[in-house]
Amino acid sequence: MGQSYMHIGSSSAMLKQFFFKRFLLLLFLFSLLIPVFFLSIASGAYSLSLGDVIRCLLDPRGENPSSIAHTIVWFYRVPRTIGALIAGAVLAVAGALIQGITRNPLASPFTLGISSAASFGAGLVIVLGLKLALVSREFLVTSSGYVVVALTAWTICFLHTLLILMLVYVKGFSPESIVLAGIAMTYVYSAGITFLQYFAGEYQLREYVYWIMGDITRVDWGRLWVLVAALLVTAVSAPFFAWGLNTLALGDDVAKSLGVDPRRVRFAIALIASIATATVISVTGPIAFVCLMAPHIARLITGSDNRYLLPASIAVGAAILTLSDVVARIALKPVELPVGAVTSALGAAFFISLYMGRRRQVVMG
Amino acid sequence: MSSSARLRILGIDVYYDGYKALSNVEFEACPGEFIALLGPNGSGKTTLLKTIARVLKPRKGVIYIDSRKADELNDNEYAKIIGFLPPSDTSVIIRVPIKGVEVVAIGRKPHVTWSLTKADLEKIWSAMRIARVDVFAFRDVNELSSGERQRVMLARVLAQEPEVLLLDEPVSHLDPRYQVFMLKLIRSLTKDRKLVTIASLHDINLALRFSDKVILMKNGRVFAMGTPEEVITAENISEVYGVKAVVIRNPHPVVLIEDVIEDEPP
Repeated sequence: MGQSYMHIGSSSAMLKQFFFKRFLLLLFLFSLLIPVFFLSIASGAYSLSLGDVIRCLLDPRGENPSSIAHTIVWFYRVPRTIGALIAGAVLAVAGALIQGITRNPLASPFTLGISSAASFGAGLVIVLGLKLALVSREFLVTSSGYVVVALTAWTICFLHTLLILMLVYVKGFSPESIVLAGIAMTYVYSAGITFLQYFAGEYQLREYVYWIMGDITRVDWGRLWVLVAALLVTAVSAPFFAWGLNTLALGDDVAKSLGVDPRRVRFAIALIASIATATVISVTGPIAFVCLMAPHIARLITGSDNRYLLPASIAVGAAILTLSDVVARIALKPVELPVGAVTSALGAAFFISLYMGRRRQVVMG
Repeated sequence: MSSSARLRILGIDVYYDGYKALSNVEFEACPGEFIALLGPNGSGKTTLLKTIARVLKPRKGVIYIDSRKADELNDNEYAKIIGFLPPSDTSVIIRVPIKGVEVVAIGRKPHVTWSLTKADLEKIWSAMRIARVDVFAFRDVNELSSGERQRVMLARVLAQEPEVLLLDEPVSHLDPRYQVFMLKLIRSLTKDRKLVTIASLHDINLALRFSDKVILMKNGRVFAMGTPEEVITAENISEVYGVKAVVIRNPHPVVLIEDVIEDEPP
C-alpha cells in the first residue's frame, strides 16, 4: 500500500527523468565499447600490453616496420576487432528488429532461416562445387574463392528472403506466418545441408563444418567494408521504424488505429534485417545466438521502447561478439576457437539462466 | 482535444471474405455523446468499431468526420482524431517486459516524430493520472492484473488525445467496482472534452445507466437506435438476444434476464 503514496506529488518530471536515464544508459553502453576495443586488440596468442597497443595504434604507417606488434595490431587485430564490433552490432539490431515485427522475444533472423540459407549456399560451393570440379581446392583457399563462397551464400539468402516475403504476403503478414515460413524453410535447407554433408569428401566436410561454425578471423580489411555497408544500411533505416515497432507491441489493431500499417513495417523490416544479416554471415559464417541474446540483454537495460532498444542492441551485440572473440582467442591459447562455438556456449548459458529466472518470477507473481 | 468532431456513418457494408458482417449501418454521433453498442456475439459490434477505427475497410459506405470524408485524411491525421481500445483479453499479447509508461507513451505516436517533448510527457502523465495508473508507470504491465492492465490501455488511448473514442468491451473483464469506475470516468471525459464515445458493452444495465444513446445490433444491422429507455425494452431484448427479459422501473429501469427462449437459435 505504501507504494500508492510513493508517487503523490510527482509529475511528468519523473517521466523525463525515466527517459533521460535510458539515454544515459545508452551512452554508458556505447562507452563500454572503448575498453572492449582495447582489450580485443591486446589479447590473443601474442598478448600485448596496453602501452604497446596504444603505441601501435598511434602509428598506423609503422615507422618501425620490423615490429611484430605493429603487424599483429594492424594486419590482424584491428580488422578483426572492428569486424567483430560491426558484425555483432548488425546481428543484434537485426535480432531486435525481427523480435519486434514477430512480437516474439525468441525470434531472430536465424528463425527466419537466414543462417540455414547461407549455410546451404556455402555448401553448394564448398561441397558440390568441388565435387563437380567447378572450383578447385587451390582456388577455394584463395581470396577469390572465399568471395565466391560468400557471394553464393548471400545470393541464396537473398532468394530465400524474397521467397519468405512472398509466402508471408500470401498469409497477410501476420507475425506467426513470418516465424512459420522461416521454420518451414529451415527444414528444407537442413535437408539440403544433410545431403551435402553426406556426399562431402573428408576435406570438403572439414571445410564446410568450419564455415558453418562462424568465425571472425575471416574478416580482413577488404571484407570489413562489406560489414560497414551492412551496418550503415541497418543503422540508418532502423530508426525510421522505431515508433512503428513500438505500436506493433500492442497488436496489429492498435497499430493500425495509431496510423501504422503493420504489413508495411513487417515487409520493410524483414527485408532490411534479413539482407543485413545475410551480408554479415556471408562473410563470417553463421555466428549463433548474438542476434537472440543481445536484444534480450539490451531490453533488460534500456527497456522495450525501440528508440532505445535498437541502439542499445547495437552496443550490446558489438560488445558480446567482440568479447566472445577475445575468449575464443585466449581460452585455449595458443589454439583459437571459432567464435561461433563461444557464442553458442554463452547463449546456451544465458538462456538457461533466463529460463530459471522466469520460473521464479512466475512462482512469485 | 481542441476541436470536437461530429461523426457520421453512412450506409456501411463490411465483408469478411464472402460473409457480410455489416449491412447498411448508419448513424450519427455528436460531441459529448456516449453511445453504447449492444447486441449478441457476432452481431457486428466489434466489426463496426474496427471499421470506424480504419482497422477494417468497408466495401460500401462513407465515414464523415464533421464535413470531411474519412478517406481524405491520411493514416496519421486520422489517428489524431480516432482512438481505438480493443477488448482487454486481446489488448496485450505482449511477450516482452514493458513498463506502464512505455505502453502509454505509444499513444503519442501520431503526434511525435522521434522524441517525446515535455508537453508529450505531461500528456502521458495526465492520462495515467486520470486512469489512475500512475502507480504502474514503472512496473511491467505483464505483472498487473487484467483490470489494471486494461486501465493502462485506457490511459494509452487517452494519451493519444482522440476526439472520437472507440472502446470495444472496455469493462468486460473488470470487477464491478472498476466497471463502474471506468464507465464513470469515460462518461465524464466524454462530457468534459466533448468527445464522441462509442463503447460496445455486454452488460445491458451498464448501458442503461451510462449511455446517452444506444445502438442495438442484430446480424450486422442496426436493429434499434435511440435513448436507452427507448431502445432497451423487454421486446427488443427478447428479439435481439433470444432471451426472456423484464424491465423493472425502480424508479430507474433495470433489466432482468429470466431465461433463454428455447426455440430461438442461440
